[in-house]
Amino acid sequence: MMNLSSLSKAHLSVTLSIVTIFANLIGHEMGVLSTLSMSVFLILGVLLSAASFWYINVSDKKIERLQNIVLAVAQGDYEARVIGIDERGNFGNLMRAINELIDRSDSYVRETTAAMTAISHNRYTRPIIEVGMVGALLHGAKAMNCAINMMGNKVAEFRRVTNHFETQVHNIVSSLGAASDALSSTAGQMDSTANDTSQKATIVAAAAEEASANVQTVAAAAEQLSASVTCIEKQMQHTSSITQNAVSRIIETQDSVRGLSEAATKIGTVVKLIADISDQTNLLALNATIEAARAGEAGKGFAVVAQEVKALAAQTGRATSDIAAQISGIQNATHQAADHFVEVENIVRDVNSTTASIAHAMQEQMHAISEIANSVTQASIGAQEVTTHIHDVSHAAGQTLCAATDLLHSAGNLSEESTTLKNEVNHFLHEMRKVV
Amino acid sequence: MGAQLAFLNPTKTPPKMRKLAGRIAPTNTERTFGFDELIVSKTDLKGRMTYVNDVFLRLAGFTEYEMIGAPHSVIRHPDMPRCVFKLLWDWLSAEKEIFAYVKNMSSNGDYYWVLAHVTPSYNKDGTLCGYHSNRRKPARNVIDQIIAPLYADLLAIEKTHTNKDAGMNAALEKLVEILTLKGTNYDEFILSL
Repeated sequence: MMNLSSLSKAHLSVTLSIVTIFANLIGHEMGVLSTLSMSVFLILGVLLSAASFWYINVSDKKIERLQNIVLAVAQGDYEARVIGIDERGNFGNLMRAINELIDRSDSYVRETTAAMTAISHNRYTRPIIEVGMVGALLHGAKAMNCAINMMGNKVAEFRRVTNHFETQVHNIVSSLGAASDALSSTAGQMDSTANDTSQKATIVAAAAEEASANVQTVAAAAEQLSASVTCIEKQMQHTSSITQNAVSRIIETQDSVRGLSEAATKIGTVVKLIADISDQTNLLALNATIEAARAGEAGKGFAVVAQEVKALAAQTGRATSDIAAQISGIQNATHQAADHFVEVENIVRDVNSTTASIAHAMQEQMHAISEIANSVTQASIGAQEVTTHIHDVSHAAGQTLCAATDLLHSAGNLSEESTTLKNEVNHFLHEMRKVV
Repeated sequence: MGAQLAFLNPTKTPPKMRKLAGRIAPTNTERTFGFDELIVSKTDLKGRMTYVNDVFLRLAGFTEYEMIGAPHSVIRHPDMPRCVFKLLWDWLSAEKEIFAYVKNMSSNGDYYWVLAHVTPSYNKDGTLCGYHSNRRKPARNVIDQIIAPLYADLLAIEKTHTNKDAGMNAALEKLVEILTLKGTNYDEFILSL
């Protein structure tokens, strides 16, 4: 009795009720039952009928509840379950079967919802758990897992490709940035160099002009120098003839001095003769004095004369000594003069020789001046060329300056473009990653 | 939960169940179930069971009558580290699904391993009304080679602390550390097994 469901119990009650009624009827017809027994059967039949009615009623109420549960699930309420199952037999099994149906459907809904939610968050590592699934649900889960797996692989491949692309673009942008920086730096250097060049060209142009002017001055100076040297040469020739003249005069003068010396020597001879005469005169005067003394008074006057003659002789002697001394002086002087003349001659000859050297030097100077003049001419041409070239350099520097400015501008553009590229690519990748 | 979850016979009121752990000595007998079977239970927001299916009752060794209204912790096995349940409730309170390997205890002390998947349940109007747990048969090698040794380590850490919460937090830190070393997180780790 305890293993029966309400429906089975109702079924049993109805059967027993019918059996009771039939037993009562048959007993009544055959007259085997007493009135008391019949009453008992009748009461039993009524009770069994009431029990049948009760169990049918209970079953009907449970069926209504089950219907509500099934309808709720049909409406998508997967929280609905049959609990407090106190039925046994088929009815109880039906209730558990309903629960199993809901549990399996519920798990399928939860699993697929979770897996799809994960996919919507770009997570492909949350598949539908196949364990615990059976039949068509398992089949459906496998199909979805296959799709999830493929999507995951494709997304991973896409991410790999986009990451590679990002790395590549990043490298390119980095290179572009570095290149534009280098370009900027180079342009800056070019600008500075061009400015510097321009300034220096101006300085060089001024210097070349100054050099040109200086060359002119040097040319004029060289010309003047040339004229001076020519003048000096003439003067030197004049000096040379004068010194030669001087030499011949000196030689003539030397002859004169020699003649003077000889005349002095002759005078000396004459003076000696006079000195001898003077000495003899003195002796005569002495003798006259002695004779006068012997003559006494008569010789007195004579003695006076003799005295006078003695005095005269003495005077003559002194005079001749003076003359001799003078002549000796003359001779010394002439000797010295002769020596001096030799020295003078030597000096004049030196002068002459020096003059010749100077003349030679002058000629060399003339040659040098000529070379200077030649060089100056070339320098002048060079300075002219420098001026021309410097003008070109200045022009080129101006062009370089313009180019550097353009380059700087281009480098700035390049930098901006590479930043834009980077931003665009980042934006693109960001958007792409939002999509996948 | 609605009217559908009321007992079919409303005159019965469920008994108060206490945790098995501490009352019943664990045995070394393992109970198993099929790969095509699901253990299902639902709880209210406080973790009291509002529905259990037949497979649940078969493995836990209880009747539905005993289980409805009882806390889920009734079948908690003493070998389970508390930090796993801490993790579970942390995730659920953030209304996220969570997978966890759990060793449960049957009424006679037997045990059974499950891979539990717990998800929040919502009313028709979309408000959180409870939690739903589907438990599946886990792979033998995952339990033997990875989960059982890991849980043993975590439990050992918990037991070194006299303060239960301190032990639980230390074990949780250890778990996070292990996962970080593996370069993964809990979610990915469990799904990768």
